[in-house]
Amino acid sequence: MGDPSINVETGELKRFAKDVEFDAQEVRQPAVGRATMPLRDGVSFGVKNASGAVHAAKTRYAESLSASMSNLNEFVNAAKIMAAAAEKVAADFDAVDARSADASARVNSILRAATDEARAARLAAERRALPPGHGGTVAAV
Amino acid sequence: MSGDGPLTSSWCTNWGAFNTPRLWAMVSDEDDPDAWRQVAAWGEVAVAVKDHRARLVQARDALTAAWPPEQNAAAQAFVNELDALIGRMDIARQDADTTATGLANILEALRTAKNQIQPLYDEYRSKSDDLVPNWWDHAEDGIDKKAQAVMIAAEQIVEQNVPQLKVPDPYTMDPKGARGGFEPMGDGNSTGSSGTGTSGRSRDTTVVPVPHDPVPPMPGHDATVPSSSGGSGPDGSGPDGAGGGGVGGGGSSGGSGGGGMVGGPALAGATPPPPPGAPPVAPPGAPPPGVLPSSGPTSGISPVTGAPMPGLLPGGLPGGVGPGGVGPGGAGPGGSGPGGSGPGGKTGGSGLTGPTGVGGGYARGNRPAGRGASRALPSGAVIGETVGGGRGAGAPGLGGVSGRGVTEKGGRAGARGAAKPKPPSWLPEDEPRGSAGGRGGATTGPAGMAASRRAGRRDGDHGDQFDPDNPWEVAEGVDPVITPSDDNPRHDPGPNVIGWHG
Repeated sequence: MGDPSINVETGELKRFAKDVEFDAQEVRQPAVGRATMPLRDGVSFGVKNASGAVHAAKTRYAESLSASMSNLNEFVNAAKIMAAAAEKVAADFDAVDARSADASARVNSILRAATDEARAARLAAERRALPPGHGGTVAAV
Repeated sequence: MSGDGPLTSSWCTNWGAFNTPRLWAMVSDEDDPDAWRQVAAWGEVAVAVKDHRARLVQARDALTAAWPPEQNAAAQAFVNELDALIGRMDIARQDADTTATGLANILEALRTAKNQIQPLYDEYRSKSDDLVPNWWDHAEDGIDKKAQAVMIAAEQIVEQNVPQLKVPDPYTMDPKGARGGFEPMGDGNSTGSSGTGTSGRSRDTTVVPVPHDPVPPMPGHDATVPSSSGGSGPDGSGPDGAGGGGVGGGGSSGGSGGGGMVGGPALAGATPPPPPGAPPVAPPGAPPPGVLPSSGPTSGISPVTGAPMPGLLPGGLPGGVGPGGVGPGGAGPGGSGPGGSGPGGKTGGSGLTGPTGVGGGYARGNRPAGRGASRALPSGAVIGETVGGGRGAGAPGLGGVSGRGVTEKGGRAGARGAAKPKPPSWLPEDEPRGSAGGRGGATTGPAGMAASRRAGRRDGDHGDQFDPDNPWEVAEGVDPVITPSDDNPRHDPGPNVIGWHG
């Protein structure tokens, strides 16, 4: 371990994984859910207004709601992914020689793997949540 | 920040097409507590994101202390992704705060408009119920202008705050450099198929609906001003006909005989079609403009006969015949109604000049519905003659327009349909009389008020009450006070009359 560039403190990675996972799962996700509860009512102004400006405001606000609420969920999911990736990186570095030149690529690959796994799990959960015969599909943008 | 959402309105509102009751109907539901709760919710979102971000920053700092990215490429890759997430959360927090401010400003503008229009609406109601008809004192018109000015001011504030409603770019975690087919070391289970990576990005995209059920404009008016006619300022969309013809067109001066108000140049029912892409101005399920339970001086009861003439346009005659004038707006599109199957629907809107020339206000032409709309008088037609172009069906007929017209098929059906007009869904329950159709009783549903008044009499509530908006009204079955003489058809108007060769 004389080379500092390959000195990996896997203990801190594991701590990061544990803390961030707990925070995202137990704190942030419920907090976002509570905060966005009133926003789920959607656009609640100017329903009968014939103004073009009000209509533009409603349209933009609807887009803002949609994009913002989606991003909030993505932030929580991303934190969970980062936590999972950190845990895997730590496990990987514990198992192999960390002096490999492919270390950074490995980290990115692990992040990708964690992202894909989280995505697959979410899609599966959404499919299960859909009622039988539901015509909707899970969006994949 | 993306600019996905619209920053400006796609049309210019013709506020002159809305009278005070309609404007009140637009804003009466504003100041919703749920809407204000959303303002607070955006603040809570900002706080939640800020806390989350702070927690991630703290975790990142602890991690980088033990795993310095500047000394380790792997740490750099990890921290880069983490920093990207933290950066987006910072933007999201700012956006939430900005959106909360913008939403609050919009809600406040609408609340202010509501608070300012409410007393105007009360005043309008009192004016509608007094003994002085609108065509005499124009009191309701002044109130309308005030209410329209309030809406214009509110609209400007709303428009200024639309950019405050932030539409963030979609965030999806997408690590870079992980798609080169690299298979990480270690047990294969931990990384799965990550090496190849999937190019698709999954993202929950929930489409938030935009509720839009606007109050329709007064019949014969467009809710929007053509884009070439300038802005929506008080002078540009006033009720006096400015604003690209949105007001004053469409036969708005129909029936403006005698002292009736003349709305504008009145292109005989030629109402321009709505601009492409414009949203519907009438809510689904709401009756078309012609069905408004209006009442006014140009009631369909003939001042002479006191009874609705059978010669009706199917579905109502735009531009009624006032008690004192011939309504040029009668050449409107001919509406459409249950009896509107007759494409002709020709009604002899010859109108009988009122004995004193005191016209009963004005009647606004029906808003064209369906095919046959926007038709001007055909060649050879006579002003006042109504050429029914209505082919469609749907608008309940408005009967009771006086006139000695030729009734074609469907005319009576329209009259029957007007027996008990349903109030439009957008109207408050305490809607003042005549406010739906016009100003202070000036009718817009030209024939509707006749039916409504007659229906009211049948109910036996106010059968003998004097109606200041319809001074020539007589009871059904009662002989008119004045009838044309059959004794001497020759009429000598005296000297110096053009065309007189006596």
